[in-house]
Amino acid sequence: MRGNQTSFIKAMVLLFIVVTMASCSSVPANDQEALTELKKINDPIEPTNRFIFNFNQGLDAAIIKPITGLYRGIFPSIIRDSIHNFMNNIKTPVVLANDVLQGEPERAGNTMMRFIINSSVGIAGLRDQATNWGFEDHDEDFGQTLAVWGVGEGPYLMLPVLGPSNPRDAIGKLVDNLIDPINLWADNDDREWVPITRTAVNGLDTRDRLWDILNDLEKSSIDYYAAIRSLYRQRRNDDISNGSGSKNNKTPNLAETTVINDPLDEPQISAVGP
Amino acid sequence: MSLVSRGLVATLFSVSVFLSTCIVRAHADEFTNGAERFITSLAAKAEVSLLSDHISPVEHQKRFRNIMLSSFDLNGVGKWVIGRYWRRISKSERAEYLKLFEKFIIATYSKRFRGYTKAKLQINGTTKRKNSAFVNSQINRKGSKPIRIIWRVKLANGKYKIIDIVIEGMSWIQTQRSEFVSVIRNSGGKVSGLMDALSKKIVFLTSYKN
Repeated sequence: MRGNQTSFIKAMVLLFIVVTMASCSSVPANDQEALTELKKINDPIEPTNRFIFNFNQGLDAAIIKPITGLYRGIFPSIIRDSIHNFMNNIKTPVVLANDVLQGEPERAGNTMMRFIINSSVGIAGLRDQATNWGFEDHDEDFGQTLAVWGVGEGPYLMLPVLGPSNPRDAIGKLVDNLIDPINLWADNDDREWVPITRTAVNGLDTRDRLWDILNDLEKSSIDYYAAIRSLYRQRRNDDISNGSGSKNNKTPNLAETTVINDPLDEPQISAVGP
Repeated sequence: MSLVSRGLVATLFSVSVFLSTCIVRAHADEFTNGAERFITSLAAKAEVSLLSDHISPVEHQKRFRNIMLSSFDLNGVGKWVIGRYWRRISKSERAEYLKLFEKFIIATYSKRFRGYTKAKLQINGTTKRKNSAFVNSQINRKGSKPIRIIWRVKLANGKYKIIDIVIEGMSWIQTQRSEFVSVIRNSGGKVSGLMDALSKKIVFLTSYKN
């Protein structure tokens, strides 16, 4: 397992170098608007990413979606929810670590209470009793922690099987796996089936939860790849800002999305250009 | 034991933070109040006319279209989502594009709305930035986290119109814009490429059965 992860890091670093170099080449220097647009899209290896996206789509259609369909057919939503809760609960230590690393005592306390309640009253995490008692679920990962520390996302990356990402989030995922207590325990005892099973079940659960959304999106989008790219970034930014710090009643963090390009203004990015 | 006590300290801390945010309340003005009333009445109207079990698909589509056209600034959004390319097309192309955009939006969302069950929209207050009001709301679901929805509303000629919906931090117009610009770029910077894609999509969306 360790060996795999080291080679994964090496591959990521190599990929990062290739990506940075590729981004230097194909920029039209004379068109200011096109330049701004390209910077905003921030997807220098788009052809490669689209190729991987198509591969992932094929894999989904041939294997992942049919298996998820079977899973949805066999198990009623009560059981699927329990599995989701269980998987969510065993990942709590990693969420807690990231809460702490981000300097969020309030959320760290919330995460701790959730773990205590759900591991006991929630029957080993199968029931999410904590939410009913006012300790709502939230997600944190090391990619978000890096963002809070000021690390930029870098260029968009489509990872094989894993889907949309970027160098920051990919490294974050890796670190989360390295610090996970269950993975550490399994690694020490040579129980390779533990992380493998966990990854598989997590994947199944994620695909199950996205079932309707992806069905709708694929049907209605005219560029599915671009839609996913945009949604992934917006969702991550929302996660990073923790939905602007409060559940409700606060000004949403729209600075990065809609306010800069106000729809009330004429669609002009700059005065320069045709 | 230490885990529990640390949890308690954190809980007390979070309670105090929560209380302090309750005390600081944003003062509302006429514009934001109006925007909030507009969204509340729209939700009520949509519930009455769209979520009844006794209407035919054709009637449903008609009602949905009326609500969309009267409460959304579809022309403004349509213009914004193609960004700088708007200035590159002729007057007649603009009119043709806006017509297609409207059809596309209606075709996309009228079907999506049919499967929805009744859900109460809870309004959590409204903020103002520039010429827009942001009506914060949430839909509560049993046993899981509520879904955060922000309605971005503008006031033009005395009428409120929605110009964006942001669900869990994901903006509708932002997503639409990335898609549209991507299609235009991949057809050599031509808006006609987008219009072809939209026409095909409208045919597909209106033909398939749910």
